[in-house]
Formats: sequence, structure tokens, C-alpha cells
Amino acid sequence: MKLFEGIEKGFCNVILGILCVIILIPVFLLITGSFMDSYELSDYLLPVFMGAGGMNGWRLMPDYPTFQNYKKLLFETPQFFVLFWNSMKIVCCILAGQLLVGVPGAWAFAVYRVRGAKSLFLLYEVLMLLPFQVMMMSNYLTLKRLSLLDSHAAVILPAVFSAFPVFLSYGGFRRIPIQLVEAARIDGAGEWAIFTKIGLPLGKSGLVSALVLGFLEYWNMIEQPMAFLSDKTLWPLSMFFPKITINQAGASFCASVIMLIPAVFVFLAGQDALEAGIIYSGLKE
Amino acid sequence: MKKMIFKGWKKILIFTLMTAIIGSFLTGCGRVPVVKGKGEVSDNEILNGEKDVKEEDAADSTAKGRYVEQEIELPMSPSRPVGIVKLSDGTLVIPDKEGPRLISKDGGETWETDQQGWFQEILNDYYIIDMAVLPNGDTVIAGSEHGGDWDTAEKILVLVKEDGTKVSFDMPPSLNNGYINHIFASDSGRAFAVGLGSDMIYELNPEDGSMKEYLKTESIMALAAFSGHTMILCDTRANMWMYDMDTESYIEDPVWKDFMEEQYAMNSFSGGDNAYEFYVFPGEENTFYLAGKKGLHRHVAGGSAIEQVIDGTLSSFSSPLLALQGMVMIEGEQFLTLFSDYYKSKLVRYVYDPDIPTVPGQRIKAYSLKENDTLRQAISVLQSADSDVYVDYQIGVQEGSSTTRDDALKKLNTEIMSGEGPDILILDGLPIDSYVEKGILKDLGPLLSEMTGSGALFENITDAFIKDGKLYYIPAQVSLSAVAGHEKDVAGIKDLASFADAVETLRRENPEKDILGLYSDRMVLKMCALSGEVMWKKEDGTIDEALLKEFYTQAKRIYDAQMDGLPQKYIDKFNELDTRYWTDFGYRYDESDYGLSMIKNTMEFCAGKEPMLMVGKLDNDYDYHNIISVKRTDGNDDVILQSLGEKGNCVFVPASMIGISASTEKEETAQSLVEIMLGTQVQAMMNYGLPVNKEAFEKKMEDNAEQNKVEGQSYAGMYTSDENGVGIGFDIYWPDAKEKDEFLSLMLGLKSAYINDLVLEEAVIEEGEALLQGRRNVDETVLAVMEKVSLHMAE
Amino acid sequence: MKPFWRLWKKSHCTWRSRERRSFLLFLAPSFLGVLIFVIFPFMDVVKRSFTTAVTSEFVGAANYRTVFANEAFRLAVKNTAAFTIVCIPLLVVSGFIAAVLLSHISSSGAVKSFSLLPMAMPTAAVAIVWEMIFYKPSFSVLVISYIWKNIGYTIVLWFAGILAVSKETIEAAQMDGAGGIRIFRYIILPDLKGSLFTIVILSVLNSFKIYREAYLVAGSYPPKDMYLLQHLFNNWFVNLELDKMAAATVCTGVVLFVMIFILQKLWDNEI
Repeated sequence: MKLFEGIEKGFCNVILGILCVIILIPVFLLITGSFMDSYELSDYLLPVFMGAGGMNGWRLMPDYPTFQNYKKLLFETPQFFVLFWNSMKIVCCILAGQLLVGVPGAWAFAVYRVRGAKSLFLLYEVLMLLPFQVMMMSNYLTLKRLSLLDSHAAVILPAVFSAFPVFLSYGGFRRIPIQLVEAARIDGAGEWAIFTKIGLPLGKSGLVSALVLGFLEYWNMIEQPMAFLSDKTLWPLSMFFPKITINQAGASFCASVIMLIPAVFVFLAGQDALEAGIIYSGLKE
Repeated sequence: MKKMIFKGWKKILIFTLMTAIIGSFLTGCGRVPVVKGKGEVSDNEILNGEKDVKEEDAADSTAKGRYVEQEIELPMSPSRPVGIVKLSDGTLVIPDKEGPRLISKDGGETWETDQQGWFQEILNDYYIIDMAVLPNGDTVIAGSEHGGDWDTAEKILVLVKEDGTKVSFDMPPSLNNGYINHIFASDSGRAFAVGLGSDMIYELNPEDGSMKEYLKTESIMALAAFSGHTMILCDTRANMWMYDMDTESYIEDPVWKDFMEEQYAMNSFSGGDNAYEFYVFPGEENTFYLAGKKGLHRHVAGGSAIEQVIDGTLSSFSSPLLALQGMVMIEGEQFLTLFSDYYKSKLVRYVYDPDIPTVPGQRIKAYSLKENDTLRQAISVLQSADSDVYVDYQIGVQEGSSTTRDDALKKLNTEIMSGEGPDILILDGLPIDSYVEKGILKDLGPLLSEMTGSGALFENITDAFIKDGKLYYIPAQVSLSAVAGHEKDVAGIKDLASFADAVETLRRENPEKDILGLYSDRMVLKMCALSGEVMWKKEDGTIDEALLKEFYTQAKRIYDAQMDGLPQKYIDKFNELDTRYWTDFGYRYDESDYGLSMIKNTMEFCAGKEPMLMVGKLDNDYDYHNIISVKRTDGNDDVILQSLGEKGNCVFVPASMIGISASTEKEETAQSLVEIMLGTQVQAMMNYGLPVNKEAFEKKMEDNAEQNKVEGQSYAGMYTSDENGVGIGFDIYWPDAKEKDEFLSLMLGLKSAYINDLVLEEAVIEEGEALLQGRRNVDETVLAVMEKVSLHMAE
Repeated sequence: MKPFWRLWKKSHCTWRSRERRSFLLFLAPSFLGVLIFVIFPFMDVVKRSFTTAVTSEFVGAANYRTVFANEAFRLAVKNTAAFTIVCIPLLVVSGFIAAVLLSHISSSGAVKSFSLLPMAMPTAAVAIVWEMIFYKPSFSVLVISYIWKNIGYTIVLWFAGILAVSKETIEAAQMDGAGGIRIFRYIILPDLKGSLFTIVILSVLNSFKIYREAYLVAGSYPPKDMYLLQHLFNNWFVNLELDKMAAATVCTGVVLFVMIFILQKLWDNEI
């Protein structure tokens, strides 16, 4: 038995290992690229940029590893930090807003059987799926009307009221057995108390997925800031290089790597909460 | 279950319908005019991320007070001025490295030339490299003896007192055969010098003619300013150092350092002698001013703020065609600035007017996808002429930024649709056909009919843009598509087919020479497209397959004829150049301004008689001078220039196409801007592009004795050395009367405009590459193009 | 049909009215915001679909007719549908398999983090990497890019779903003598329907987002089989064909609505 289990485990490990390696290839390219100086990069990437095809090969380790890209970016480009904090501010405000507004909304959909709720939820989902550029013009007009253009609110508010967190948290709340809620009601608990004491803890997995995925989504957001923010001092970091050209290849790779780091933190933190929420939900009646 | 869902449906429907009605009011019906309540003093500043800038001028629209420009007459225009210097007795001096200096004894009001005898003597014997005037009137000159080879000529460094006595300085040995090429004068009377490529600053001692090492710096200094005991040094990369001459130590001033880096680090010194991208000069005690394209800023040494004193966008500072030569502060907090352009110098006084609004009341918006110099120049002229106008110039894709064209266009369209669109548009790169179709542009016909006399434009050019009796946009400049070479080769060329004939004939006669000066498939295609593009589309806008086939057939003939027997070395050299352009600039050689120019091979044509034809764009009058100058070289007197076209219609390539928004509310101001951009003043100043304004065209051909630009005289030269190190080139001549007439008739003969359908062009070029390389035949290629473009057509 | 307000009165049950009140209270802030920032703009789009682009004259259903007859639209729909049909099952299934494998090993955290990394990479960087690795952009590149980017959350969500399957029920069934396959079919799978639904919706959402990478790699007029709805929208937008864009958007919205409606019914009925 143990042997079988061992082989099973080994097999899984190998497959998943291969999967990870494949997934990580582009990330690897990015990281090694950020340590190359512009000559090496030009060597490898010239055909790419001249439209003649793929790169000229790559090395596992750069021939001449250099920190100059990082140095230039972190120490000689003051705009970088401004943009970085803009991103942080925007994303944190969005996530906070989503928690305050979207999560109760999800709870409402998940728990209360009200006529029409389903259809409304359907509407939420459909609107969430429509790509940004078709709504861009109309959004712009709304924001203009509200005089929110060219301020962070123009990007934060529409995101806060997006159906995205509602949808994900809904999934988490739906897993909570309805008997629990009803039992609590019978015990005399108020709706708000039920929400905070039962809903939030047990629906954690949904919340955390909403937060993690939301972070990734908004951290890399490009279209909204491009459309609604003209003032460059308000731009988030993702706007630093919307398109990479050969001059900026080294700096771009570097900036991309730096952008990865907070995202990694977020989902590492989110992992634990996700697991916790799941273990919690396996309750006894 | 079903019943309940259905009922739920209804409820939702009614509910949302009600809110929808309310909702459509909120989202508005589109055209809400925007009133920008807050006076944005300098949008540009904010756009460029100057978060450190604290504007002294107030932040609301009723604020008053602004510096205005007044131009001051100079008796003559200095050829190589060295800024403006204040002497201790109050006299203002504009030294000139090539002529008498100008002085003003009344604080800059009036000026006169000051012939200094000793100066003329020095000028006769030496070429002045740099010069500085000390507050006591002494002049320090660094020069090189005339004649002979530059490297071996004698270099001198002398201080000359007002009475003519000279003190010579010996070049310090640590200069290692270099020489002094920059001299700085401090307001306290000390003189410093820097050598070519050296990071050592020397101080001159006029008593004994000695030079001692004063300060070793971190890089090569190009600019110095002094105030009291503080010295500011700047290198070419906008790095700034502040040095206390009393304590002999550096002062940290991070505020200013950051500011300079943010604003000016992208630029390095450009233009000839002493033309500065930014300039530093002292003000009151311990205060320095920084002047440049962004305007004038003030900073107290060691202080925490940078104040904007003059907004670049509201003054000549931002004008792309004016170079900053020097600036000085005079009595009453006024400033004198010396600008120079292609032709002459301009002295401007800035005076503070407390009564006019800080931000001009009339604001219009101008837009172009890429930075457009001609527009900038026109804006500058408009704003100087009318201090109540402010032009908010937005650029879609800024130099150095990586915004994509589509993103910029979507944003522009959003703004247009929401009523905030620009009043003036430069249509280069924009989807012109769609804009015309959707009625975004105003009919400029009436405006054009008012432009008579000195505002008159070449009718043959404007006629090419009339569609259904309306004129939606006018180019501000054009280039010709032309070919030049020996008469026997070129005379028969009328269109692509005969061009191909000519190339093939030349190839037969010269099996191993370079015929065209084009070395890649893309270059050939682009060159053919210049005149052939008019063939691709029919009147109704659909693709003309038959003519496209013809185009490809001829292009292939031309390519084959050129490549067959072409020495490999040319191709290799070209590839190297193309690659270099890509790595350095991010675009290919054929996409650069110079790439398709007709005159890139003129020197080689003269020297080795190859390439045998010069073909491409004739972009400005200077290009024309090149061609006629080639004619004057040995064995080339039969060279003729011919405009290319199809079916007898000569083609021109329009650029800087201006349109006015149909929904503009500032029609008058917008029209003024258009008139200025198409007016003589701006048109005659353009560096790149042939003017569409008749008078400007003729003005450009006017003789200018001062600059040797007289009929039949040589005023410049183009020289380089070829691969064997042998010098090749020719002198450039000013056209004589006959040639001027010919040029005019060339312009008058233009008929068809090169249409800018980017999608089609890209498809034709891309698919054409396969054809030229022999991987496909013509029919297949045409089919491929049709397919590629069908999507675009279908949309 | 009973009048609207009667439906309200009809329910005397205090439970019901309390439920409804709570529902409204909890939902109010969200709904208000969604109304302003999502629904109203959408209504504006709907309005535009019935008018001309710039002059805003009413034209009835003309835009819809134009759009349906438009070849580019047809191609885009075809490609988008093909893309969806190919990618989503591929993504969902491979994510599931990976999650199952993952549930057998101990250190799942690392794998999950690695697989989420692609989602964190900025689009511009991703585009460059694809240009580096692949010689020519094509439909398969698009598919690969999509799977690569989205495999992360798929695995995470599947994994969470798998773990959440009630252990007791499984043990009880095992005690009752049910074999692995039966347990899988009748206990695990139904429990996973919720996760499946979420993952499918998210995958559809992200299938629209693939546009940015496609644009950076292949431009606004990519090879024919890569031409998606979003390309069309983009080009219409650039050329101010806003009326067509609005009409096509409404159509897309309707299609999505129907699709999700069906999905939701399937999900509900099985529960």
C-alpha cells in the first residue's frame, strides 16, 4: 500500500514538476533578461524586433550578468516610485472598496431567496463579461458627468463596483450549508451577525480568491488608466511600458520583474487564507 | 419554479427600464461643453510630471500677471553669438564669434555694433572656438589659426583688455595636445576654461598669463553660471553640480538636480556652437534661473522649491525652431533672451504685465499623433501675437513613450465623441477617411478662399484634396517624389513602367554597378510606392487589382535589375546601417526621414558615378540645392531632375495635414492658427518639407548676401570620405535664376497626392517582400494583399 | 399577470419580508454603484446601437442589420466561438487534472504559486516573450498563451473545490462499500459543479482579455484565424464606427446572457 502511495506521489510530483517548468519558462526568460545589458539583449532579440522571427537563442545565465538595469530603474528614475505607489494606492483602494461593497452584495445573492435575485445576478455576470473597450466611451461619459476624470477615483470607483468580486465571493458563500444559517436565525441571531459571524469566516475561500484574483487583475490594469487618466503623475506602474521596444527592453524586463514581486507576496499570503477557509468549511453538523 | 423566474424577469425588466431612462440622462447625450474652472496654469508642466514645481502664478482662472514677450530690433544679426553679458558698468554685450559685437548702453532697448579693431585682427588670423567677456570688459578668446589642417593648426588662448593689450596663455601641459574649447566668465571677474574632452577646469590668471588647475569635475562641463561665490556647472546630460568657491566644496541641491534631470535629461546639447537646450544664469543674490524648452524657472540655491516664472508653452521658449543662445536678467525683473533660428538671431525681452490674466482666456486644443514641429512653431507665433490665446497642444504618442497608436486613437475618439475633442487636428497617422466620412472635419473651402495675397497656397496642391467639392484638410508641407541622373537615362522616365525600363537599360549597360542606391526589397517597394501608391485604389476607394498587379510587375523588374550584379558590399553595408537604426532608434532606416530621401547618395553619385540614379523624396529646398550643385560637378552637367508620377500626374507626398474640428466652438481662433501655419512666416521657416504657401516658397529662394546665398554662389559643402578614405563631395550652390524657375515649375506641376492608407500600404509592402525575393509570383501576391486588406475593407 | 406591487403584498410571511429587506440592504451599496458605473453605461451603449455614430440620429435596427451582414463580423464571431470552444474545455480539464494530481502531494503551495505567476506578468512582457519564442503569431499561439496565463487560478479553484468535498460523505460511502469510481461520479463530481461554474465563467471572462496580447504580438490585422471579436471592436472604435460597435456589443451581451442562463439552469437543476 505504502509503495503504491509512494509511486503515486512520485508520479504526481513528476508531472506537476514538468508542468511547472513549462509554465515558468517565460518567467525565466523575463528574469534572466532583466539581468542582461543592452548589448546581449540586442544580440538575442534583434530578429524579434525586426520582425524576422524568434530570438537568436538564449542562455541559461546571461554571459555578462549586470545589475545596471535595476540600478537605473530603482535609483535613477524617480518616476518609477511615483508610479509604483500609484499602483499600490489604486489597487488597495479598489480591493478595500470591493470588500465593503461587493461582499455584502454577494452574501445577499447567495443567501436570500428573493424573486428576481437570480436574474439580477445574471445581469451582473453578463455585464462583467463585456470587454472594456466597448463600454469605454460610455464609461468616459459617466465619469465626465461626475467630474471624476483625471483622478484616481476614475479608475477606482468603476472597479469597486465591478461584478467580479461579487461573483467570486458568491461562490464561496454558496458552499455554506443553508441549515447553518437557518439554525442561527432560529437561535435569534440578527442578519448582520449571521453575516459577520458565519458568512465571512466560512466564505473565506471565496473572499480570498476574489482578493487574490482581483489584485492580479488590477495590478496589471492598463486600459482603464490609459483611457481615464491623462495626467501622467497619476499613472499606475503597469503603464510604465505598455509596449516594449528594443531601446527599453532591459528596463522593461526589469520593471516587469519588479512588478511581479508584490503579486507573489499577495498570493503567497492568500494561499494560507484559502487553505484555512477550506478546512473550516468541512464542519460537523 | 418556471413561473417564479418568469415573474422575476418582468420585475427586473421594468425596474431596469425605469432606471435606464434616468440613466440616459446621467450619461448625457454627448456634447457637454467642458468648462475648466480651475485655471491650469501649465498643463504641460503637469503632463511632464513636474510634481516638484510650485507655481508662483496663482491657480485660478481669474489670476492675473504674466510675462509677455517683446521683440527688440538688432541692427544686425550676429552669426555666432555667445549669449548676453552684463558688464559691471551696466552695458549689455552680445559678443559674436564671427563679427563685431553688439552693445547696448540703455539696458537693452537699443543696440549698436561695436567694432573693435583688435578683434577684427584676431578674426582675420584665427577661427574663434569660444569666447567670453568678463564684467570689466576684458575678453577671453580661444582660437585656432586659419588654414591648414585643424589638428595641426596653432591654438591660442588670449585675454584682451578693452584697450587692446593682450595677455597670452600657454596651454597647460595636462591638456595633452588638446585645446581649450570653453571659457566661462564669473560675475566677479574670474575666468575659467575647459579643454576639449577634459574634465579639468582651469582658472586663468590675467596677471601673469598662467593657468592653474582649479577643479577636477566628474564629467565634461559645457555650461557654467556664477552668482556671488556659488558656481553652477552643467554637463551635456543635464547633470548639475553646485560648488561654493569660498569654501571650495560642493553644495548638495537635490531639488534642482532632480528637476533638471526630469526636465532636460532627455536632451543633450544639439545644434551648432552654443545653442543650448537649457541655460543657467544668475539672478539676485544666491538665486539661479534655468531656461529651456519648458520655460524659465527660478531656484534659490539650497532652497526647497522650483518656481516657474515663464511658462514655456506660452512663450517662444517651447518653439522647436528657435535655439536658445543665452539669457540674462536685467533691471526691473525683466529678462533678455537671445534666440536664433535657421536664418538669424532674435532678441526678446520678457516684461511682467500684472494686468493680463495669468492664463489666457482663449484656449483651444490642438492634437497630433506625433510631435509636429511646424504646428509648434505656428502655436508659438500665435501665442506671441495674441497674448490672450493659449493653445493646449496634445500629442498622442509621445517621443520615447511606448503608447500604441490604437490606444492613442481610441482615446482621441473618446474625447471627440464626448465633446472634448481638439479644435485643430494634424491628421498624419490618423484614420482620415473615417473622419471625413463621419463628418468630424470642417470644410476648409471658405477659409482657403480667403487666403489670398501673401496667404495664397499652390492651388494644384490644395485641389488634390477636394472631395465632392469640399476641402477637409490641407497639408502644411509636401515632398516631391523624384528621380535625378544623367539626361539620357532619366529623360524617358514618366511612370513606373518607364522607370523600370530605364533601370533595366542601365543594368544592361553597366552590369556591375549600383544603379539605384537601394539595397533591400523594402526600400525598393517603398520607393516605388512613393509614386505608385496612387495606382492602388480606384476612385471609389476599392483596390484596383489590375493596377496593383502592374505596380508589382514594375517593382519586380526594378528590383531584379538593381540586384542583378549589385556588389554584395553595398547590401552588407546597408544591413549594418538598418540594424543600427533599429537598435539606436527603434525604427528601421526606411522609416526614418532620411531613408527615402533622394539626396542620400548624391556624394557617391558624383564621386564614383554610382549609384547611377538618385531617386526618392525631395524634402526641402536644401535637397534641391544638392541636385543642382551636383550638376556643377565634373561630368555631370547633363543631370536633370524629374518629378515622378503616374499617367502624367506628378505625385507629391503631403505632411502635416491640418483639419479643423466640425464641432469646434472656437472657430475664429482655430482658423487663425491654420492661417498662421499656412502663412508665409511659419512656412518660410520650416526646415523640413516644401512650403505650400507660394510666397514662402519664393522667399526661401531669395538671395541672402550675408550668408553667401546668392545666385550661382556656393555657400556650403557636403564632404565625406569613402571607404578608401578618399574625400568625396561637392560644394553646395545657391540656385541661379533659371534653376529657381525650374523649381517653381516643378512645384506647379504637382497633381496627385500620395494617399496615406496605412493598412493597405503595410499589406502591399509586406506581401511584396515575398514577391521580390522570388518566393511568389505577381498574381499570388495581389491575391495575398486582397485577402489581407479584405478584413479592413469589410469592417 | 398580477400587478407588480401585488406580488410584494402577497407574501405575509415575516421570514420572507425579513429576507427581502436584508437582501435589499446588503445589496444596496453594490447595486447603486453597479447601476451608475455599469448599467447606465450599458444603457448608453444600447441607445447608441439604435443611432448613427456621430450625429446620433435614430435609425432603428439598421445597425443590427449591417452588423449581421458584415463579413468581418461573421469571421470574428466564428473565430471567437472557435477559440472559446477549444480553449475553455481544454483549460478546465487540464486544470482539473492538475488539481487532482496536486491533491495527492503534500507541498501544493509551491505549485499553486508558480502556476499563478503567469497571471501576474504584465501583458507587454508576455507579448515580448511570445515573440521571442514563436516565429509567427497564429491561432495556436493564442491558445497556448491563454492556457498558460489562466491555468493558475483554474488549478487553485479546482483544488479548493476538491478539498471542500465533504470528507464525511466520502467516508460514509466508502463504508457502505462504494468503489472509487462510483464515489467520484456520484459524490465528488456533483459537489464540484459549483467550482466548475465559477471556473467556466472566469475563463470566458479571460478569453476576452487575451486580446491585448494578441494585439501586441500581431497588430490590429492579424492572420485571418486569429481575428477575434475584440479586434473588430478595436478597429471599429479607431474608425469611429461606434454604431456598429454598439450593436455588436448588444448582440454579444444577449448571447452571453443566454449562455450563462443555460449554464446556470444546468447547475441549478443538478443541485
